[in-house]
Amino acid sequence: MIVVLALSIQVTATTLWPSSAVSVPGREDVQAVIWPLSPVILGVALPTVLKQGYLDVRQVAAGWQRDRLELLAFISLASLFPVAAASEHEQLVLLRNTGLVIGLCLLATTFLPSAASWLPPTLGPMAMWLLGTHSLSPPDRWALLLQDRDEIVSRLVAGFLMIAGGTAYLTRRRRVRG
Amino acid sequence: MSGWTVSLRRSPGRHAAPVLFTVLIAQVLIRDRAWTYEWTWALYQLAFNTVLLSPIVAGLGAWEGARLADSSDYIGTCPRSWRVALSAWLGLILWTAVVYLVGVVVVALLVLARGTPFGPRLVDTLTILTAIGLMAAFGALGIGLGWLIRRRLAAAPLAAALTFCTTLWLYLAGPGQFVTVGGASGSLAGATPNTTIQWRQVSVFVGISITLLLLISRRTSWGVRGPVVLGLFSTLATTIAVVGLADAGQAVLVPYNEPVTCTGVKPQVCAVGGYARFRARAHDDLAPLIHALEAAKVSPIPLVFNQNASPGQVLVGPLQNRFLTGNTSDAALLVSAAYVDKRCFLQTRREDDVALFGLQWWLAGQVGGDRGNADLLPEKLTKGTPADQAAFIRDAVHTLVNCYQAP
Repeated sequence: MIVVLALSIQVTATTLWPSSAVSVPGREDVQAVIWPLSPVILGVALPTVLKQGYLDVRQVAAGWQRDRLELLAFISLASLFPVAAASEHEQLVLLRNTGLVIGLCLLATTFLPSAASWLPPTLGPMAMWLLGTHSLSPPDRWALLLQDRDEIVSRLVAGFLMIAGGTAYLTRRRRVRG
Repeated sequence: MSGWTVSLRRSPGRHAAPVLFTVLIAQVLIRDRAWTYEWTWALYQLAFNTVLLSPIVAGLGAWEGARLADSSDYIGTCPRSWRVALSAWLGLILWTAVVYLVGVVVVALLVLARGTPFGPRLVDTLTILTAIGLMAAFGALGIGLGWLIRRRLAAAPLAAALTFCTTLWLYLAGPGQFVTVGGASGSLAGATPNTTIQWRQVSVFVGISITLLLLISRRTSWGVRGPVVLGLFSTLATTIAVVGLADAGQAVLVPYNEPVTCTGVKPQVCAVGGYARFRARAHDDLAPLIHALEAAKVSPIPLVFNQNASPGQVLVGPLQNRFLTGNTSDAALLVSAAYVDKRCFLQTRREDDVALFGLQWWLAGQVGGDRGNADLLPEKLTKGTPADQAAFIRDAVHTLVNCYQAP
């Protein structure tokens, strides 16, 4: 339900946000587009969806991985709707960025404590937009979400994060202390 | 151990302090550090970090708010339960303030390391106060949102994202004075933060924080009615403060006649505190250009260059921090800027462009600098005799001095 709500907001936001560049606050003559960041709306919703309480107990039950796989499949498929709804020249970028955000959420959920798991997918894109943009030169290499659609490194990182995040989320067992 | 100490120890702010500090210092170190020559600019620029820190503080507040909501049944049975929300907020804000003040110390060390004499002003304290105040208000908003949503992992990122979007929206679409507590991409020599706006910002941020905490406290109390009169008074006072801030306008920086010290003649160079040590070098870079103008019998000639001056004052030329700190190629630009009123750029007249580019081209040539493109310029200047060139420059200066024609 939360995922569907987030994706609906993302579709609405994509249509309402300006497609042209806007001034970056506090940066002289720096302008940047906002629309590549729209998958962050999904990233805001994912930590609470992905994090499951009593994980050590759940992992005792058979089929816990199947449950997670179903959840991942649903999120991955549903997240394609905002991509499909975007204009043709935005689709590749949004697809890559959606993969990046989902992968980052999966890794953060798996490896970070709950209190910190929401920080990377939320704070990372903010820093990329605010600090990684320039007036005359293209965005810094680390501002992955803002790279050009043909830029290869950001695509590779997105693919890696998706695969690594998915694998970790589906396989990493919580250590039972006792 | 008192309840206050416990909430300080258990605050998410304590665990997030390294993250907050990393974000703060990364911004300070990654970006251009031209501000290290000016105390006011340095501390005002540091306050811009609230754009990234406020979302984190709001997220942490939301986490704390949701945690309080989880325990609301238990909290509600305690006497003076309002202190729980207050101590949760205080714990978060104290840690945030500690991180920010450490950032202030780092910035101060960077400024001193640059060789800038010690000289922060009282207004700089107000800049620090508004930055912490803004984060305190967003922290209280986060606690409120967390209290309402009750799911920590939903509330925290949502509060952070909403804070960031709200900040950007107010920056871009206005009214910006509600979130602009710092951030200047250029030197603040000749400008200062607007203290009227800063005081009103402090009152708005304090008002929002107290009002929200009172509202949350009312929800935490079971049998005992919360402080209704205080709540109403706080809401009213905050509303008045918000109206007052909205009414103050968006000019967060205002002109300021900062004290300067001067050196040399033809031209005399006057700079503010942190740049005073560069006056002699600036004089040596400008003097050949002034002598060249004199030799060409140009009148009037700017015989003083002052960091507080605006372009177009003719007899007093402006000085840029970039030039003072070593970008000597700007000398020709500054001399020609002395003649050109900023309002001239509102009108596009070809003769003004030719005069300006011609003067810069000629001045650059006098000191063997890069002259740039001469396509626009007449042959009288580019291929003429020295007498022809001097005549062109006298005409150009006359054109530039009179370039602004009131409609």
